Amino acid sequence: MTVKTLQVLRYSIINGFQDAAAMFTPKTYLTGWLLRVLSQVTFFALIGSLLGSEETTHFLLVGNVVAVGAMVVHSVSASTVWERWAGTLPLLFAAPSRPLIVLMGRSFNWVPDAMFSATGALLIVGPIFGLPMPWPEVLWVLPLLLATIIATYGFGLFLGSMSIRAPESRNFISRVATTVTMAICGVNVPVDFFPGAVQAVAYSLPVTHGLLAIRSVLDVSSASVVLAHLSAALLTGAGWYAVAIISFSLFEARSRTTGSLEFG
Amino acid sequence: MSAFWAALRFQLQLMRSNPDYLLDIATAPVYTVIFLSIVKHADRPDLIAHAVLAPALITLWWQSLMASGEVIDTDRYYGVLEPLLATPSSLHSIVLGRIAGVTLLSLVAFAESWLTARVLFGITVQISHPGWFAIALIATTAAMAGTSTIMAGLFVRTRTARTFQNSLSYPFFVLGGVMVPVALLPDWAETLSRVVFLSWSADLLRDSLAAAPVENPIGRVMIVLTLGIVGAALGKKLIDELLERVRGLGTLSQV
Repeated sequence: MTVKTLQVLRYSIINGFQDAAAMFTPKTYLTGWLLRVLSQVTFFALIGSLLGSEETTHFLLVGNVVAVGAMVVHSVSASTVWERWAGTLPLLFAAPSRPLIVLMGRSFNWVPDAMFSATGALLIVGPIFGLPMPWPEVLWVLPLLLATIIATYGFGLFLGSMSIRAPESRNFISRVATTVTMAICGVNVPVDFFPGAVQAVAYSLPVTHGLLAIRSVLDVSSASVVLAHLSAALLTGAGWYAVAIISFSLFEARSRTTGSLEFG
Repeated sequence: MSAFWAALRFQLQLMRSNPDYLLDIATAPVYTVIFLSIVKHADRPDLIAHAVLAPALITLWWQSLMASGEVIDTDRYYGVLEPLLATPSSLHSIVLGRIAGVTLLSLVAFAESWLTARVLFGITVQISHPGWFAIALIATTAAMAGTSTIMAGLFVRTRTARTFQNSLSYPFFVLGGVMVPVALLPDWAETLSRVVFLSWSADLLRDSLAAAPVENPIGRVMIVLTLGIVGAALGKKLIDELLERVRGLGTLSQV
């Protein structure tokens, strides 16, 4: 990666943060968005209370904390389209640097957002439902959460590469991805509850492995088990980064060839 | 009345052409899978009715509040609001017609949930008291339309309301007892939940599915309807005040 590429990436990331700052003030973020996130995790933890099982309550709570992180990162689907709506795509295509770099960086603001939302939910809702946080193992939860979110950003970029082709479907794509994640990735029930084909889809997503790593830490499993799950999360994440790069590149090539950037 | 029906038809056509309007309807089966898998995994067949009703109520609330809330605001955005106000038809009839279109369409989620349970889990959810279920559903739909007018008024009055649009979901799913009955909430939250019509609707709909006799159904239906009427009145007041102000100042397109 050249210095110039890194500079373009840096400016794109800053651009994304500016977008985020225009959406929320710290006050509206805390009273609006965070309230929703805390309620979402509480909603699912309460189902555990309805079932009368403390173990299930904690399972649902941890699963939905991580799902919140994935949900935020899936917003890449929408923010990628914002670039198209801003009318800047043709200019980016005409510039000497590759638009791919800009598109990969301009949504990075969702990563710290996802981290803050998920960590906030864990630290606020967790104690309310008596979630055990074994010391010092719990210290590993935050880096594992960050690794899961960064790996999931690769999948988010892939979603972005789909939504840029069909801008009207941007929210549809992210919502379906999020609810399917909540359904099959071990968020609310173990992955092996589902048939083999569904499990295969679940294990292709980094969030499934990242969540297993976090659950393993909280269950005080051995370091090798945690590392195995973490490695799988990073590997599948890397796979999605590669798929996203290919997908964006194909979009770029097709748009240049057919002149359909603003129409296709 | 013709304006009401025309607005209803227009809203249904509008929703057919924009995938965003169908978001919640599209994800209702996935939510059904989520809730049913939780209760099946926990081996709690007694909670299957909760799991099938919850996604339908979530869709009804989410879809109605989101789409209805934007009815006036998007008209203003597209520059349709001014000519609309210049017509002899009442804005309230039009807004109510469009909100009714949104709310009616979201009822599809009930069929989706039942169908998902049947096809994917082989579960047929029986309705033990179909009469009370139908009455509760009609009252819920009416109350939802009434409550949605508050959002239509709020969204057009203040930009801040839009920031909180996304936050109107899960706090109300908790307070509305859509999956977990509000009786299980702490006392302060249960008290608060009683002004949310959804909490009465969810309990009543669940009770109408169960074999046991439905307790005090008329009283509960009346509470749902009353809360819906209060919502509609509040929404009307918000819209009326806004219109009076902007007509006086000539600033309709600037609100």
